[in-house]
Amino acid sequence: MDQGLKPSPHDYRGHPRTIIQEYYGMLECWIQGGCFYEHLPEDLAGQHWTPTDTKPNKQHSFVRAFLERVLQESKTDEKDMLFKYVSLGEKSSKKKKSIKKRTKLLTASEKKQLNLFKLQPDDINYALYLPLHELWKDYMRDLLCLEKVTSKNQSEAERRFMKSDLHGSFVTVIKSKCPSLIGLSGIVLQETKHTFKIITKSNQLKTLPKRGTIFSISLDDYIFTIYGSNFMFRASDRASRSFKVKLVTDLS
Amino acid sequence: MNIGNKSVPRSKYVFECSWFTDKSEKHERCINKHTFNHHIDLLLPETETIPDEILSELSDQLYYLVSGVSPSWLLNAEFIEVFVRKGHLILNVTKKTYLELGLVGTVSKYYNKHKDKYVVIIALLSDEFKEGTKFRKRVEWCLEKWKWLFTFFITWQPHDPAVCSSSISSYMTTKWAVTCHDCCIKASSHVYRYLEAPLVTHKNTEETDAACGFVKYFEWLGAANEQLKCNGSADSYVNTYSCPTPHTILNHCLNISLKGFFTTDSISVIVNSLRNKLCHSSGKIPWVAMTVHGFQDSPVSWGQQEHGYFDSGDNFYSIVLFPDDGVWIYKGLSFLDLLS
Repeated sequence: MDQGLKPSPHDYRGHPRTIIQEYYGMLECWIQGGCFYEHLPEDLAGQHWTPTDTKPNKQHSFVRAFLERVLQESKTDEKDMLFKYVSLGEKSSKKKKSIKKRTKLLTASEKKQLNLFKLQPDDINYALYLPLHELWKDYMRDLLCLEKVTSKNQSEAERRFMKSDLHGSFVTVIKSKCPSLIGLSGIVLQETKHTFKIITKSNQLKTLPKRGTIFSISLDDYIFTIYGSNFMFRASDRASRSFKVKLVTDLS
Repeated sequence: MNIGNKSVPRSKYVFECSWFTDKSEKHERCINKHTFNHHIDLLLPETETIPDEILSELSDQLYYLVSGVSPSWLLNAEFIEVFVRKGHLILNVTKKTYLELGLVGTVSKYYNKHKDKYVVIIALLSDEFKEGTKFRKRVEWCLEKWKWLFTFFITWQPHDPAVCSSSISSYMTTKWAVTCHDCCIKASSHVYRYLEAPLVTHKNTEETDAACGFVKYFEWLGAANEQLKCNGSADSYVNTYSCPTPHTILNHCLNISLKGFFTTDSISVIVNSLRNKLCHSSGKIPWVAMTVHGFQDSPVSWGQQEHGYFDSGDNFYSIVLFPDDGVWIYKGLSFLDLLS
């Protein structure tokens, strides 16, 4: 705080003690009733009347209790109060923590409205995505190191495969609850929680549901089989997820 | 009624009474709808020898046992053109196969609860299955990927009387390079002497004092076809069945049992020859009965409808001809089978 703005002890305005004194004086003034009340009737005026000693004491204790209650909340010593303003009516407001403002992102519905995930008609061309597929193959070879995979460390490779990114892979539906999906194959362009979006060799975009479908992905000499019903996670969630071993009894 | 917690097989029986010369030709329709016939039983009262017409019809009949046939070969355009005039390819598949097959089907009536079996029907002569259509390519792809090889009983009814029915076997051996085993119809006959038979007339379908109803008659017919003793005495096999009253005694009764694979045409020929015989008998023969059994485990029965083998497997019909051109038709079906 700037030193110059600190009130000096000689400045009586707003000084707590001064305020208390003022209150006190005012209350006394009311009690004496000099200026607030009418004069007593004459028959009473002659009587000997003295104010009881208890009354001023009562008022005194009330004021003290009131001030103590109000000032207690501000937790200030009497010494500090000499140099500070303490407002009696309002509670001292705590400083709010400053929250960092995030940069505002588009919501899912806004993204949908803007057609951000839709391909332009010119981009629906299977040949365009072949480089992506080659890129994915290289990525998977690096990730899985298929030459080093033996029967012992196969499960580890499987785990790595589960967490891998499948954009650009060539998937084929080998089993499905919907007969017309069987045999569809293409390069994965987008993976959502519940679907794969693929482009087929005949330049068609297809959305394959994961539920109730079994996919196969081949890489070099290996064929991976994915049970879609147990694979319903977003690609980003899958990377950090630990999978449990589940028995597959039926497509559901 | 339950026996040992297993419910009794449920069956349906349909009885029809009509005339041979009736326009609706119920007996003809009945014969034509029931395509897969395995077993024929004939019961000819007052007859001792097999009629020549029936013998000549049966001697021509051959059916073939072919193994190693892929279902996709049956879709061959040439094969369909030459041999198929009307027809469907019906596949009864388990759920496991259906999920991989890729052809749209429906859940089987008999496995509706657990959805374990599916029926896929492909109309071979429909427009969408013509050469070069997308659907046809899809069906061919779906069936070829399986490398299925089946063993079939095959019989063929030529569209043109000039063509021999054995041409299908020569086609299969040359085009498909499979071996065809010729199978002959097995016939056996038995002559009853002094057989007790119920008195029936075409008019009296219900039981009266003068004649037996159709229910008791068909019960007796089943026993007579299987050559059961119906004298009411209990022997080593507990059978106290006796011929229903009123009954007469037939001096001779010929029972012929034929086993093989019969086309509907040959059954029609047999029925017509029986009728001729009845007309020429001058009232000596009270009736003639023919019972045709389908293959019990056949996936289809009446009118190419699904057939439930594990429900009861009933899959037969009996035709009884009377001298006054009356016809009784009695059909047996599994519980969920349909006639049309």
